[in-house]
Parts: sequence; C-alpha cells; structure tokens
Amino acid sequence: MTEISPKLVHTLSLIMVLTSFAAVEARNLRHATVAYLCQALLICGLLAVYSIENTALLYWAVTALVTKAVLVPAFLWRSTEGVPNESRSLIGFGTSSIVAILVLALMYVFTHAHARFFVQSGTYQAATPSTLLSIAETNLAVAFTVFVLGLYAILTRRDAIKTVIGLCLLENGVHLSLVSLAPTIRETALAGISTEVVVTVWLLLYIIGGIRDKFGTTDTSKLSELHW
Amino acid sequence: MHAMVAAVIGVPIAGAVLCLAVRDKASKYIAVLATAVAAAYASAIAAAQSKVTVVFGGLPWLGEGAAKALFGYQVDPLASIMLLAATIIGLVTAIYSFGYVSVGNREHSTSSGQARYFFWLMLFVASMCGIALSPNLLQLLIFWEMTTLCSWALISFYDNEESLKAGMKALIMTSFGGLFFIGGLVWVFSATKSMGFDALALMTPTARAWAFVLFLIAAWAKSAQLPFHTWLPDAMAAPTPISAYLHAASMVKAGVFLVARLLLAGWHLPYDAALLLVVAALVTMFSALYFYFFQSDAKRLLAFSTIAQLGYIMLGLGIGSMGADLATRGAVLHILMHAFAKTLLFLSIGVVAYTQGTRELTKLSGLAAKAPVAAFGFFVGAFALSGVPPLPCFWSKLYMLSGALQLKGSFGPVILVLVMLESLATFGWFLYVGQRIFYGKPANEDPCGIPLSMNAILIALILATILVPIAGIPIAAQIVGL
Amino acid sequence: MFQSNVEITFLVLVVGALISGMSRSWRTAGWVAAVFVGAATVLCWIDVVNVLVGSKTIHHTILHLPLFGTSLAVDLDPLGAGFLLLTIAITFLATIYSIGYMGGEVTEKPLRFYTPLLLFAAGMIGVVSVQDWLAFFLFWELMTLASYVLVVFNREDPVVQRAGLKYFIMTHVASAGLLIAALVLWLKTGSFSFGEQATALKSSTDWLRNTLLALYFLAFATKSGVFPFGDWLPDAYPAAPSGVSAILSGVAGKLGAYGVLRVFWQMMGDSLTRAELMTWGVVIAVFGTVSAFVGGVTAMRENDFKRQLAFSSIGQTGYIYLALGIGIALLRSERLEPIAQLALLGAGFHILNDAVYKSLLFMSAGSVLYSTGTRDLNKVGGLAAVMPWAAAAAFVGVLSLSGLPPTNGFASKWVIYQSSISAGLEFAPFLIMAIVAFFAGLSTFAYSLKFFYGTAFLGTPSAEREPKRLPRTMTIAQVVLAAICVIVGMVPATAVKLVSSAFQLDNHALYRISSYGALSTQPHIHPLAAYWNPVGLAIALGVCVLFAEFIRTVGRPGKREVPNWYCGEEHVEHEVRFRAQDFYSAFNEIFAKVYPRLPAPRLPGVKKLRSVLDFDEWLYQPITASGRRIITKISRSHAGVPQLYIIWQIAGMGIVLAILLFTIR
Repeated sequence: MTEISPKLVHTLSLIMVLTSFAAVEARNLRHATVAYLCQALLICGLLAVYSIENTALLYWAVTALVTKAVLVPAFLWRSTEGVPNESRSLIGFGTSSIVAILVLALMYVFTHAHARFFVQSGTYQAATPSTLLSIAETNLAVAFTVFVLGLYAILTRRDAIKTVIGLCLLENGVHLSLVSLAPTIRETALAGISTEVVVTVWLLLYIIGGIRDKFGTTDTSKLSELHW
Repeated sequence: MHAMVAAVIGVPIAGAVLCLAVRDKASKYIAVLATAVAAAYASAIAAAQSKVTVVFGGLPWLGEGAAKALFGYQVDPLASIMLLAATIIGLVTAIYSFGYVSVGNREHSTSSGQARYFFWLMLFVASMCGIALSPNLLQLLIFWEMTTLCSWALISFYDNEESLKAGMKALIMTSFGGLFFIGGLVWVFSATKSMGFDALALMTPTARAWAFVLFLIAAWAKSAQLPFHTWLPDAMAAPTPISAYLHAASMVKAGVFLVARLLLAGWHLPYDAALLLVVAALVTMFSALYFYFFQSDAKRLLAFSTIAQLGYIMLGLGIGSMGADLATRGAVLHILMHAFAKTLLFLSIGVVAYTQGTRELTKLSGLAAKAPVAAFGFFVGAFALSGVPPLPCFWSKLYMLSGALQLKGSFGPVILVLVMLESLATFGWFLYVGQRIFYGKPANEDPCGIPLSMNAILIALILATILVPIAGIPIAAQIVGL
Repeated sequence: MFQSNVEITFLVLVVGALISGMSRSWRTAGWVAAVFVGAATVLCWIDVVNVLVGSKTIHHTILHLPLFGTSLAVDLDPLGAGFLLLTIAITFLATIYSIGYMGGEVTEKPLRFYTPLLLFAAGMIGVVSVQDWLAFFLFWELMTLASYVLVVFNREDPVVQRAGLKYFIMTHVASAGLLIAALVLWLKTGSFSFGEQATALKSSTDWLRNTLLALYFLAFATKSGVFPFGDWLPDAYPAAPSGVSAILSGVAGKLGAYGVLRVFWQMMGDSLTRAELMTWGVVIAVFGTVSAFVGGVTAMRENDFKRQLAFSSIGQTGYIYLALGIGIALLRSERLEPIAQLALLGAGFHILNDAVYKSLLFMSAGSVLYSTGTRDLNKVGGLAAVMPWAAAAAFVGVLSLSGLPPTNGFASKWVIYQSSISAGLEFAPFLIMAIVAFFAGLSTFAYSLKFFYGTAFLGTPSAEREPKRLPRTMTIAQVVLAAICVIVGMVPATAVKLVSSAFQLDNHALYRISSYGALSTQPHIHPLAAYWNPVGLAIALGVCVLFAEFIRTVGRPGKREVPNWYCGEEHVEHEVRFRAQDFYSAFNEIFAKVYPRLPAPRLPGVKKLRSVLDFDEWLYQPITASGRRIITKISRSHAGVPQLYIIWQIAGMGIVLAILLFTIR
C-alpha cells in the first residue's frame, strides 16, 4: 500500500483555485465551461489519490468523473450554444482577483492555525496519520476559497449560467473539504455521491433555457417580472 | 356489523376513486350507485338498533393504555341518526346533481368537472359516515378535517372569484375552530391518557368545563354558530345540491354531532358550561332570525335558517345537559328532521335557480304554475322546518320544548316562549318568501324544462320528509341522556 | 276494523281528496268531491243521531302512541256531535255550490281546490271528534293548513297573497298557545286527554291556570275572528273562493266557539271558582260585545260585499261570544243557573243559525261575484231578474242576518237578548252589553239592506258587463239553506231541542214548548216571561198582507209611469243609480275611526343592530385586511433578484451556524 503524496495533492488542489478563478472570471461562457471541466478532472484526480487510503472513494471518483466531468459540462455546453458571452458582471476582473487572493491567503492562515479544531472535532480521530493532517490543512484552505469563489460568482455575476457554475463550484468546495476531513471512513464516499448536484444543474439549466425562450436573456437582474 | 360499517365508509371512498378514473359522464352513475349502497347499509345499521363499540388498533408511540385502542367504530342510536342523515341526503344530493350539474342549468351552466364534483361529494359522504362512526376524539378529528377539506373543494367548485373566496373563508374559519378541537384533544389526552369521549369524566369539573368549552368553540365554528356564523351564508356560492348537503346532513352537522357525542358519553357537564351552551344557542337563533328579514337571496335566507336550526340543536343539547332527557332526544332527532326539511327547501330553491337563472327574491314571482313540484316542496319544507304538525321538526321541537319544561324554575318557560317566538317568526317569514317566489304573476314567460331526475327526487323527498318522523322517533327514543 | 263512522268518514274524505285531485276536469272533480262529502255526511249523521238521539257516546282507540303517553282515539260526545252535524252538512252544501262556482273561467287545476277542501273537512271532523289535545292540535293545524291553501287559491293576486299570509300567521301563532298549554299540562299528567289535563289544570297554581286559560281563549278567539284577534278575517274571507268563504265563516269560525265551550264549560266549568268563572265570562262577553259593535258598524261602511259579510261575521261571532260569556259567568251560581243555561242555549242556537244564514249569504255574494265578476257593490245591480231563486234565497238570508221574524236569525237573537237582559237585571254590565248588542243588531239590519236592496239584486242593472246566469248546483245549495232558515225560524222548538241535547241542557226547564213550535220562557228564569210564536205571527203578517192587497184591489188607485226628471239633462239610466257608497254617509262619518287601517309600525335601530350582528363587517374583515397588509409588506422583500435571495440564505445560514456553535460550546 502506497502513501499519499502530499506534493501531488497540494499541486492538484492549488490548480483547483486557478481553475475556479478562471471559471468565475471568463467572460466567454464556453471558456468558463472548459475551466470548470478542468476543475472537475482535478477533483476526480484528488479523489482517486485519496482512494489509496480508502478504496470506497474510488466509487466516488468514478461517479464524479461521470457527473462533474462529463454530464455537467455537457449540459453547460449545450445551454451556452449560440450565446458565448455572459452579460456584464457586477464587479470587474481586478476586484475579483484581489478578492480571490485575499480569501486564499486568509484561509491559508486560518486553517493552518486552527485546523486541528476542525479536524479533531470531526470523526477524524487521533489515529489519523500526520501527513493526512497536513494535507487537510491546505486542502481546507483551498476548499474554502473555491466555495467562496462559487458564492462570489453567484452573487456578482448576472448571468444565470454563471450562477449554475457558481453552484458547481460550491459543490466542489464542499466535496473537497469533505474528502480532506474524513478520507478514511467509507461513509464519506456515500455522502459525497449523494450530494452530487447534477440533477439540480440539469433542472436549473432547463429553467434557464425556458427563461431565455421567454425573455430573450439570462440576465438575472432583468427577471424581476418573475416575482409576484 | 364489520362488513356493514366497512361498506358504509368504503363504498363511497371507492366510488370517489373510481370517479377520478373514469370520464365525466360516467361519474354521476358511479356516484348514485355508491351513495345508494351506502344509504342501504346505513339503513341496515340503523335498523339493527345495536350498540357496539369495536376497536382494532392504535398508535403504539402514544404510550400504554387507552392510546392503544384508537381506531375502530362505534354504533349507537346517535351514530345511526347521523348515518341516516349523511347517506340518505347524500343519495338525494347525488341524484339531484345528476340533472343539476349540467349544461341545462340556467344559473350555472356546467359542462365539465362532474368527475371532480362527484369525487369530492362522495369523499364528503364517506367522511361524514366516518364522523358518525368514530369511537373516539382522534378518529373523529381526522374525519372532521376531511369534511373541512371536502367542503372547501365543493364550495369553490365553480372556480369564480366569489366561490373561491367563499371556499377559502369556510376553510379558514372552520380550521380555526379545528385548532381548538386539537387543543382540547391534546389537553384531554395529556390529562387523562385517553382520547375516548368519556375521558372528560376523569378530569376535575373545572378542567372538564374548560376542555368542553374548547370543543364547543370548534363545534361553533363548524356549525356556523355565533360568532363564527359568517362563513355559511357566503358558502352559498356552492352549487345548490352541495349547499343542501353541506347544510342539511354534513359539515355543519358535524359540529353539533361532536357536542352530542361528548354530552352523551356519560359524564356530567358543569352547570355554567351548560348555561353557556344554552345562552349562546339562543343568541345565535335570534341573531339568525334577525338576518332573515334582510336577505334578498333565497339561498342566503336558507343559510341563516340553518344557523338558527343548528342553534336549536345546541339549545336542546344544552337543556339536555342540564338534566332534561327529553331535550337531548329532541336535539338528536332534530339533526335528522332538519336534514330532510332543509334539503327539501334547498332542492326546491335549486329548481327555481335552475330554471330562472337567479335566486334574487325580487326577481322571482309566480313560479308555482311552472314548477309546481318545487312550489309544493318549498312549502312542505318551510312548514316542516317551522314545526307545523305533523311534519318532522314539529316532533323534535315538541321533544325539546317538553324537555325545557322539565327544568326547574322559570328557565324552562322562558325558553319555551322564546323558541315558540322564533318558530313562529320563521314560519311567517318563510310563508311570506314562499308566496313571493311562487305566487303572484309570473315574472317572465320563459318555459322551463326541469330534468326528470330533479322532479322525481323532489317528489320522493317530499314523501320522505312527511314520513321521516316514523323512522326517526323510535331511534331517538332509545337515546339515554345522563 | 272500524268501530265508528267517524274514522270511516275521515278515510272517505282523504281518499276523496286524492281522487278528486287526480281529475283534470273541474266538473268531474267537483262531482267526485260532492259524492265523497255526501257519503261522509251520511256516515257522520248516523253517528250524530246515535249520539244525540240515542244519547250514547262513541269512544274507541285507533292508535296507541306510547312515546307520548297518549293514543289517537275517536271520542264523540254530544257537544262534538252537535258541531259534527253542522260542520259536515254545511261543507256538503258548499261543495255542491262549488261545483258550479268553480266551473267558470278557472285556469288552475282542481287539485288545488278540491283536495284541500276535503282535507279541510277532514280536519274539522277530526277537531270535533277527539278528546285529546295532541290529536286536537294536529287536526286543528290540518284544518288551518288546508284552509290556507284554499284562501290563497287565486294566488296570482297580491291582495289574496297578503290575506292568506295574514290568516295563516295569525291563526298559527294563536294555535301555538294551544300547544304550549297542552305541553305544560302534559308534563304534569303525562297525558293529553281532555279529562286528565282538566284535572291538572284544576290543580295548577292560580297564575298558571289563568295564563293557560288565556292562551286557550286567544287561540279560539283568533280562529272565530273575535275583534281584535280576528283582524285576519276581513282579508281572508273575501279572498277565498266563495264556497270556501261559506265554510270558513259558517263552520270553521264556529269551531273557535266550540273550543271555548269545550274548555271553559265542559272541561273547566266544574272546577273553576265562581270568581274565575265570572271574570272569564265577563271577559268573553266584553270581547263579544265589542266584536258585535265593531263588526256591525264597520260592515255598514264597506262597499265590497264579501268584505262586508266578513265584518258581519265578526259581528255575529260577537253575539255568540256575548251569550257564551254570560253563560260562563253565571255558571254554577245558585240562583242564576237557569239564566246561564239559557245563555248557553242561545249561543248554541245562534251558532247553528249563523252557520246556516252566513254560509247562505256568502254563497249569495259568490253568486253575484260569479255573475258579474266584481265585488264592488257600486257596480252591480238588478240581479233579481237574472237569478230569481238566488235572489229569493238571499232575501231570506238577509232577513235572518238582520234578525227579523219569522226567520231563524230572530229566534236565536231573541234567546240571546232574553238571557242577556235577564242577566243584566242581576248584574248591570250585562244589560249595557245587551243594549250595545241590540244597537249592533240594528246596524246589521241597515247594512244587509244595503247589500240586498240597495244594489245587488234590486235597483237598475249596471251596464258594465252582461250578468251570467247561475248553474243549477249553486242555486240548489242556496235554496236549501234558505229553506232551513225559514223552517228553523218557523219551528224553533225542534232546533232548540237539538241544541239542548247537544249541550245536554234540559230544555223543558227553560221553555214550555207547544206542539206547533211556539216557545215560552219558563217563569222561574225570570218573571218577565216571554212568548214567541212564529207560526202565529206569520199567519198574522200574512193576513195583513192579504188585507193590504185587498184594499189595493178594491181601491183601484190610479197608476201612471213617469220617467225620472234630472233637471232636463239626459242620462243613461245606469249612471244615475243610487249607489252603494251613498248609503249611511252621515253614520259612517261618525264611526269612521272604529276600525282604522293602521300603517305598519317602523322599528328604530334596525340597521344599527344589523351592523352589530354582522361580524364580518367589524371583526373578520378588519382582521383579514390587516393580515393581508402585513403579508403584502413582507412580500415586498421578494424583489425578484436571485442574488438577494442568496444573501438572505447566507445570512440565515450564518445565524443558524452562529447559534449552533454557540450552543454546542
């Protein structure tokens, strides 16, 4: 049985930050989709790496490959057909980059200072190898950043497609933290698989398609007619 | 007995489900068939004259003891009276609706939705039978809320703004009352660990009186008694046969039935609570009477008369709980007698509205020549309602009044005089309204085609109304009060 | 199965009601009804003869009603039998009359007339042949209900509608009192029978007893139309078809008197104290006197001849009640007992006579109405030429009503005056009543003359419409009644015997009866013994008439015919008739206020109370409105921007997390 390489994990997770930033910031929705696809592949890879520790995670990795890396990008691709560019965002690129860097830095400091609290208050008992612990510290920082970037996308991007992408980012952040905090128990895989948002994405995109047909736009700020 | 009880509740439910499965056209046949079967079994149960309580099972998590025995049925004279009213009037309503809910209706031409209509109607019949047969408060509550739901759906049947509003109003006001029912139930259960009707006997007299008042508020709301009476006149937006059923045999009767059930469970109601019951009933009767004189819509007039008549039942129960057995019998008998008289009135007015397209008293005149059966039915109904002998309500009122006279002191004579006054005023006003609608010069020369089913059921109902005391009095005579 | 004819009669009438209702032809239905009522009459009379002549009572139970502690039983005693005799006979004649009367231009179905008519008869038979208050009440209401249907026969006419409404409501309200009384006493004894309830009434407290007696009196006085309880009467009698008016006035109204006799005399006569008897007797007599006066005076004013007869009914009922009152007041008094008996005899005799001549007069009025189509006395005239027999009968009826000898009306009024004056010599108020009644009798003469002579039958014909001839059935009924009037008037002794056997009075104690029908008061009643020999008087009058005719023939007075002179103006003859409204104008001005038409009272505060009771308006609608306002305000936060909702969510999540972290620590 081989050990998990912390370097590999760190690399993969740090690239995740980049991909999520790209997915949030790309004006072209198809580019954003591609960025998201990259991130999905990365998290699949991470899961695969963790399955060294816990074979059950392999099932999750395979499921994630199908849902995150195939189905969700495919849905996004189909629904962005013919409308490559997103509507103008509320906050520009410069601010976004500052926010992303700040969040990452803050989270890094925070997790490395207080990770033990999170880790030990969970199911993750003292028996956990110290390598996993150190991996978890960085991963948590990354997961939080991805999560916040997803939230940031939802809140600041007007385009509904971007909202969906933001939702997927949220999911990825949560999944990353989940797998980092409790890689050794089998139930983690179950929890991960059962929280896949693929159906939600499909539904959202279906509704967005309907909205586009009805209103000719997916700009959420122009949808106030929907309220009663 | 198991099979009969199952049939009385099950057949209408099965019919309801079947109605949803088939098309509009077939639904009415199913409805008539199902209600007829239910009525037949209800008559059989009433004829058997047995007193049985059977319990099958309960809710284990509620704890030991009485909570284990929650679901079953209870057959006794009171249940028989209610069953007869619910199923026979249900059958009459179904047959009448046969012609009424159709394209030929000049007030509300209806071409679709029969399946929905009959679905709810039959569910209604089943729920009322469920109420009648419930052996304890919990089961009664379940069916109670079902009737609220059914009445909501049926009042809103026409889907216009007026009927939707009326349905919502009925729903809100009766479920508001239902909250008190639940409150009372929870209180009684937590205090006695029992949900039986006789559980109140285990409480202290003060607690018992207050718990009873909670149930009473629920019953007031359900039976449209003051101050919750306002939903009933608005509920006239419902199709007329539904109004007939709602008023005569179901929904509002559930309220008085609950009170009767509680009072007949063999415990003594403190005098103050009984006094409250009596006074509220009197106030209701006279307020409703007062409103008679302002109604221009024939159906709203009938609504207020229902409020007053339910006041009679409450009054009878109140006097009964003060110790006059006869009054209790009279009140229970009045449930059945009023059911027939009121249905007759409603169905007659229904014929009028069907042919004339309006229920405004000012626009109706001289219909006796065109709709002789309806005219006759209206007068028989009005006389029956106001207690002209030997028609139904005369006997029930006779019982109640004799009960009132059994009371000690001057209370009884005062009630006697008040009730007489109310009856006579009702009589006079209904006579006046009847003359106004049916006598005089015809308002228009339009011919009116009344479906055979409507006329036939009216004639049958007139006969039944004249004969119903023969069936009802022996059953009521078996009821033993305190 | 059947032990008496009464229940067979009842059955016959009910079956007759159904069968005659099935017919579509008025003529057929009428004859069918007449056959059934005729059969009923024969059957009843057999029983009546058994009871009155054979002096045995019929009593047997038909149906036990253990639930109410009572049973339905036929119970025919002489009093009931006497009324039964009258009721069914008059009903039979009225039915015969109606065959012709209703055969005219009637568009309704016979179901609406003959069925209730026969049920009406059945109800009346039931009322007089039971001795049980529950049964009495049921039949009483059947009677009221059926007669209501008959009163509103011309239901398209709003006047008729109002009349029917008033009639039904007033009598129904009054009979509610009967029910109350019966119930109260039932609770005391557990029985509805007359006898046991009388015992209970006897043992009640004074207060309760007199209250219940008042209820009885109210119910019966309303039915018989005693002023002011009979306010329905002037509207309802004219509204009904004339045959029905005849029954209503002739017999149905008399059943009120039956009730008074039954309660105050038969039931309570032995058990009330003298003071109570006196009080109630005076009360009844006073109401009777007032009725007689008001009826007489008001009838004089009316130009609608059916309404006039209705007021006259009030007046004649007044006579009956006067006599009843005197009889009850003096009952069981040691010295004046014979006067009481005389008064009761007078009441009974007048009931019989009034039934005959009043139904006759209503039939006459119906004939005029049938013939001319109007009830306005100003528009009719000269009908004697068209309907000679009916005119002759009406003449007899009018003489009877006015109480002129030698008709039956005089005979019974004579007895009443006799008794009231005799009583008045002992107790002065009765004398005043007698005088008032005498005055009313004069006005009766005046108004009936107006009806007969003034316009309808004599005088010049009105040109408004060609009068129709009467069908034979109508004429026959009137002639028969007129014949009875004359016969009873000529031979009063037979009728007196009949009445006294119905009332179980010893007529020999009251009268010496000669073989040719003359009556003379027994001297022990009063020293001013009176003698009445109608046959002798008739012979004397006949001789006078013959003598006058003889003088005329012998004297051969010159005779010339001259047209009336109208100051040279030319007039059509019927325009210058002496019209009904010109009669007694001075008299009417004096008594204009006797029976005013009051406007409907207006109640204050009606609208206020209504809005107070309308909970929707001030309670529920404000609550729902404010609820809606609050909800609308909350819904403003629903801006339609997804981002905003997400912020809400995040904020919510933050709060939840904060709470969780706080509590977990």
